[in-house]
Amino acid sequence: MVRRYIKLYFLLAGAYVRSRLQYRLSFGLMCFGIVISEICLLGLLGALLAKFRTVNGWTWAEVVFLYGLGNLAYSFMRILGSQLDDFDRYIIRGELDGVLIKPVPPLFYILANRVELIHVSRALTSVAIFVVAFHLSGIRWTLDVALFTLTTILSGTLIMFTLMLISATVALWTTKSGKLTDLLISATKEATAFPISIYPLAVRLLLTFVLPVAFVTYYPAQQLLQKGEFLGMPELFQFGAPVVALVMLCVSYLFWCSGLRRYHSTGS
Amino acid sequence: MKKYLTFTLKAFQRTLTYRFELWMELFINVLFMLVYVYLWKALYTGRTSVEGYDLNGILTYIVVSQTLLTFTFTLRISRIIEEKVRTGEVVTDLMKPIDFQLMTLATAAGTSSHTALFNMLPKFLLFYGAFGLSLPPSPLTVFLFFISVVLGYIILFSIEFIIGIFAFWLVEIRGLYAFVIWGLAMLFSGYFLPLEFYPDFLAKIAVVLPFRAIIYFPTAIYTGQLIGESLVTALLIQLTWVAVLVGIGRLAYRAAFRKLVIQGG
Amino acid sequence: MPIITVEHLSKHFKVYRRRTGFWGNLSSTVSRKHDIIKAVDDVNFSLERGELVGYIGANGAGKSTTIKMLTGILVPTSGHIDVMGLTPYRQRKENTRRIGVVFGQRTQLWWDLPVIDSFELLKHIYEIPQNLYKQNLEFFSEMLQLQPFLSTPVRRLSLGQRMRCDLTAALLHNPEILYLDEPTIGLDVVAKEQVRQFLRQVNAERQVTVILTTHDLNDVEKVCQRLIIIDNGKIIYDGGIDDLKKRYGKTRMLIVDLAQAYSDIQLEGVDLTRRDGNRIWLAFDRDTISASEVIAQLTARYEIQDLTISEPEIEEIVRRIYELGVH
Repeated sequence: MVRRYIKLYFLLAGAYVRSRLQYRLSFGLMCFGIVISEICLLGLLGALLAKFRTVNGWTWAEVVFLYGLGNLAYSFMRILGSQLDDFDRYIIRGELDGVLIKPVPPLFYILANRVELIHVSRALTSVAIFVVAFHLSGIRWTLDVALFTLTTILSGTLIMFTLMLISATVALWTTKSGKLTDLLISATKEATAFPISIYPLAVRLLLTFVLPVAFVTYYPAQQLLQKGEFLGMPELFQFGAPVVALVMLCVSYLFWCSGLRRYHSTGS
Repeated sequence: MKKYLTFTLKAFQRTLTYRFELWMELFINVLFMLVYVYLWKALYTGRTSVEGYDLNGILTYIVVSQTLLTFTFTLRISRIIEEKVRTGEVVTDLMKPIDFQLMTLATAAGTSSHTALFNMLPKFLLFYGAFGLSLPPSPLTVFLFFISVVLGYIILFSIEFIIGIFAFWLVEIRGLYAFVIWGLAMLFSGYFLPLEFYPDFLAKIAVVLPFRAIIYFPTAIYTGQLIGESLVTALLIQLTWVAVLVGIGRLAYRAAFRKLVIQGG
Repeated sequence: MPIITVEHLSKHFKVYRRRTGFWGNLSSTVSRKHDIIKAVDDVNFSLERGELVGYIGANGAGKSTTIKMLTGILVPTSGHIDVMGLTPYRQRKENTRRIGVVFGQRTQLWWDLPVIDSFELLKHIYEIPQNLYKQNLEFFSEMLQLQPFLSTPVRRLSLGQRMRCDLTAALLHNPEILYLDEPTIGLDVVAKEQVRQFLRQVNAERQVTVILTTHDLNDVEKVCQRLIIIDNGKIIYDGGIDDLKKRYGKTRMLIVDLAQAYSDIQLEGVDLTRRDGNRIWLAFDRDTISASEVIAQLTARYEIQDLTISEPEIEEIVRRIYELGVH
């Protein structure tokens, strides 16, 4: 059963990749564009921090560390969940009907149908940035640190994915969501690039409890960078990422199911 | 002229029907801007002026530039043209006795004036009130600011239009779009920070590209960074880019039209 | 034992009212009102295995809504559906394995990939055993002459070729029921005929039960044995096509070329259904008035150049049922 789905996932994903490779030039330009924009953004961030030295007591390397961590989660999520960013297409063009007449779980089918290798270029750039920042922040590699980092990245990917899923699911009620999902995820990603201590309380609460992306970068970074800056939140939050990821996974899946139920009853 | 206005009006009304999208977009945009506003507030703690911007000046710059950036986010002309080429709808468009470029611009203007009224204006007013931003130095600057915004908008439109026309040859333009808009335009338009903060080599590249004319020029006119002679120069540069890019767009779509007639698409 | 049983099936939708004008639009962004639309309203029918049924109606009559409920995409507001012993919307996955669906306007194939790749993918999605897959693929590609374009990307196929591939895609897993939503829409005459012949053949040779929605009545006349007509969500006719002709076909059509365009034409017991220059179309019921009586009336009052009497086409019958209801 599980084997069947793994195989099917790779088959469907492979079909998508082959489709995309029909447009090699476009594919190449897109990868190139992503890498360029990643590097340039980092350049701008660098230019900014070169001028100001620190952000709320966070050094250049530490901010880049945050940025890299968030970007890693973001790019992995993009590889696996890109289909969700224009999910409304499924409803507007009636493609969801085509999914619902297949003997596979709809969400599985939708995700497998688009595995966006273009974002591998972003992931690679992010890995490079992260490794450098990791080194510059003076963190020493131990097994504990490596495991914690991996768990953090995995949890971060899941948290971002679930936000994307929730946002995409909204289209099952509103039909059109346009670029909302894309916007939301870019906004939250942008927010995780800086220490949340720069925001007022309301925004910090929002990023901790409503759109919990603070668990993608800020709280885990407390552990890795030994900053000890919890802003009145429990210190346990530095280990909270996997828990938050699991909770969000359940919440977003239930939400998706209820969206699907709603689609089953309205068909539009 | 009237027939083009009809396109504008129709696009405006079409956009009105998606109310949820409207509210959510506004909310997310506000979140986006908050990130930058608070970043700059944090950066300016203990400083009074950097590169000629004091805290109030930089916040004004960021809010205005982020507001103008909304156009870049919401204008999806190239994707629309790509879709029309893919479905063949473009043929009927090109056969109509109207100018395709103007018609596209008119449609875009409809969507965008809606965005300006229901997204950009409230967003700007909210931040203007909440952070006590400043107004342009004089009523004349306000006027010139709007002129500059419109010119910048036409430049953005023309770039997207040219990308869209490439769909006649490339079929798929997502790559080109991502490269130009998400790569080049985002970097060199000055939305993230004023060009004065750019490292030398990036600033030099920015000067020869049209992207700073989309966001940096109007914003710097608003904040009073560009005054007198430099302001006039900025407007002239914008006008030149408008002429060049609209021209290239025309040539491109004529060539596309010829290709369509000869090869049947 | 019917393969499909539908009892008291209803589907109601909420439709939001859009206010007109600028301020109306503006206030719609804050609050909206809705109406209830009965897309399907107390529908009953049952199908035996191997039937070939045309399900027809005007746009918005409730055809697609019914099909969506049968395939498990939509949940009924009330009523009961039994498809091969399953309730489609509750046992969606089991149901999908045993049905095939073709949407006329949307292809289920992978747009940028060769046709054969789509078939391969479907093999895995439906877990079709390799030998059955090979057998079916051979069968269909011979029957529909798919061989020449099996390795062509779907986006380069003509509409007719694509429909043939879509039909194959829907049948590869040996479904017991095939649902077709407007399968001939946009096709040219030759391609339409090919699709129709294929459906008859599949139905006859493989005992596939076929339900076909269409608004091309030629499809129905040439393919189906049975016809269900739906209008405003209600079934207004369910029976054989010959039966329909017998019941409603008493109407005859008299096509007359007049010598001049008379401004006012008045005849008893006759409907003037159409008029085009000097030519008029007159419908009459042969039980109440005979053809010769009509012609006698005509010649008495107007100067006639030519006339023909025609049997009613199914299209005409359906149109009249729509207009007048069932009597």
